[in-house]
Amino acid sequence: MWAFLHKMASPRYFYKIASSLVPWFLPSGLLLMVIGLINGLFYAPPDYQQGDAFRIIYVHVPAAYISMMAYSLMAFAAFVALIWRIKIAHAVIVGAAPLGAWFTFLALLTGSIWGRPMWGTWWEWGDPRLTSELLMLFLYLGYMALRASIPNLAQADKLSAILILIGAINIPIIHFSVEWWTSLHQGSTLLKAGGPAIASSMLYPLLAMIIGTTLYFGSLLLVRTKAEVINREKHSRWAKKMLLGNQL
Amino acid sequence: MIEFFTMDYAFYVYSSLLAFLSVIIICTKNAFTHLSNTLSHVKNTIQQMDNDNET
Amino acid sequence: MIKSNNISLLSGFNAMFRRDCFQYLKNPSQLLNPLIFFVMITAAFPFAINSSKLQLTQIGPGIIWVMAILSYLLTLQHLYSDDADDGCLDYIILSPQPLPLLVLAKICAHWFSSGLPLIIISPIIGIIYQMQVDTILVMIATLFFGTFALSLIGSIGASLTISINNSNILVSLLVLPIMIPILIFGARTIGLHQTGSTTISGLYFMSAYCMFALSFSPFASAAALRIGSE
Repeated sequence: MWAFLHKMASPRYFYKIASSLVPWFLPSGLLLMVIGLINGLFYAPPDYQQGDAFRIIYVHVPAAYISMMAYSLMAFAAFVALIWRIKIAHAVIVGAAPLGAWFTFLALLTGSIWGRPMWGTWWEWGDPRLTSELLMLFLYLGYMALRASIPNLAQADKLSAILILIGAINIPIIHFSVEWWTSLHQGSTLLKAGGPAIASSMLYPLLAMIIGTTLYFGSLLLVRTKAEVINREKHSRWAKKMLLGNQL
Repeated sequence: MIEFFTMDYAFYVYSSLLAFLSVIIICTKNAFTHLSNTLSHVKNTIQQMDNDNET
Repeated sequence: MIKSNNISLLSGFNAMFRRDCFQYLKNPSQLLNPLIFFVMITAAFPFAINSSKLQLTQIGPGIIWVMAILSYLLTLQHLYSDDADDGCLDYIILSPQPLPLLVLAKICAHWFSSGLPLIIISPIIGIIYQMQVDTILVMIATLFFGTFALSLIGSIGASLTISINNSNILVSLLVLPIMIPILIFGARTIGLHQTGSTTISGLYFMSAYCMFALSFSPFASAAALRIGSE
């Protein structure tokens, strides 16, 4: 496995592996999402307390999960890039940022739509989970703004990686905010001691959605990182050979 | 089937579903057009570098 | 035997601190402009919002806090850019003293010259907003922690953007989201005091936030300064 990880640090090898993985990840992710959505929308029984509005969970939870997972991925990649100086990790961060931002926005939007009938308000400013998730959206946007404004690529890489690492403290804050403070948002349902506190008929479509969205995110991440890698490696021989074929 | 459109809170459920689907479509389209634009841009750059080298 | 000067950490800190304080004193307009901005805008709100005394005490803490943060952000742009412009920053980075220590000295000097005047001016604003004396004391306590935290976090934002001209808006964009918890706790602590609840938990949180920022901000700023001046 270490040999595989070592090889993945090489842009050329990464490009090859990514190109072969995307046709598997993307369709399977989309398929799982379709299965999860149809089951969740039409076949899962209505909730005892919330009626049919709980079905937003099948959209909100995967989006929120991806938003946090994308940031954790970016923080880990920033760590790898700064400490071990593996340049491809910077390309991964660049690729993950817009996707993470979109999913954070989606999580905030669907959460707000869900909050309107359930809590009576579109937004609540004192709520720790809502504000820390909004903070994460600003961290994504701040990262992209900082990158765009530094002309030197190496400096831009390192400085924005520092920014990501500083903001990484937000992830445990978002996750534990419902335990540490009183919040409108409900507590953990899936990662609880004693197993998930949700009926199986509702749980399985949710798991399908989570896994499907993760696969989908992974495939788009690979696509965007491929673009970033080939952009950085345009002076190399393998890029020339791949793009221009045998017209050397 | 009609009752799926008149369940309680149908507006909220379907608007969030619409938001989800739009984000999925926008992200997929953006990612793949970004990749193809980058590939064509890099290809042009390499070809230009080649021409500069040969002249 | 050569007698060498024993350069201790404290003397390095002192030298940097004093140098920065004198530099701020030499340019008083740099310090005074944001203060005047703070006073004018917070004083303008009661004119614009034709409000009763009760409304003023309710909206006062929030407005004072937001305007304090905004005017403090104006002072942040001079933290590193002046030294970067005339080349002193490279000498500071190359000096034998640990860079996080010198950065901490700069942050403390910045707080001394920009935060302390803000805290001293704030009772006047408190009176404009019809606050009682004990509320003003709570406000001073929250502003004390808030301005120091803002100096610390703002130095990270300023150090990340030294290689960019006109980076003021970007610094605000990077720093403001991280300052939102302090803003929430600061404004709400004052509000809680006005309604009679205990304020000590809010002050504990703000001091904890300050300590946390103190523990990593000098190191993060030092790393960013090194990278930014390559």
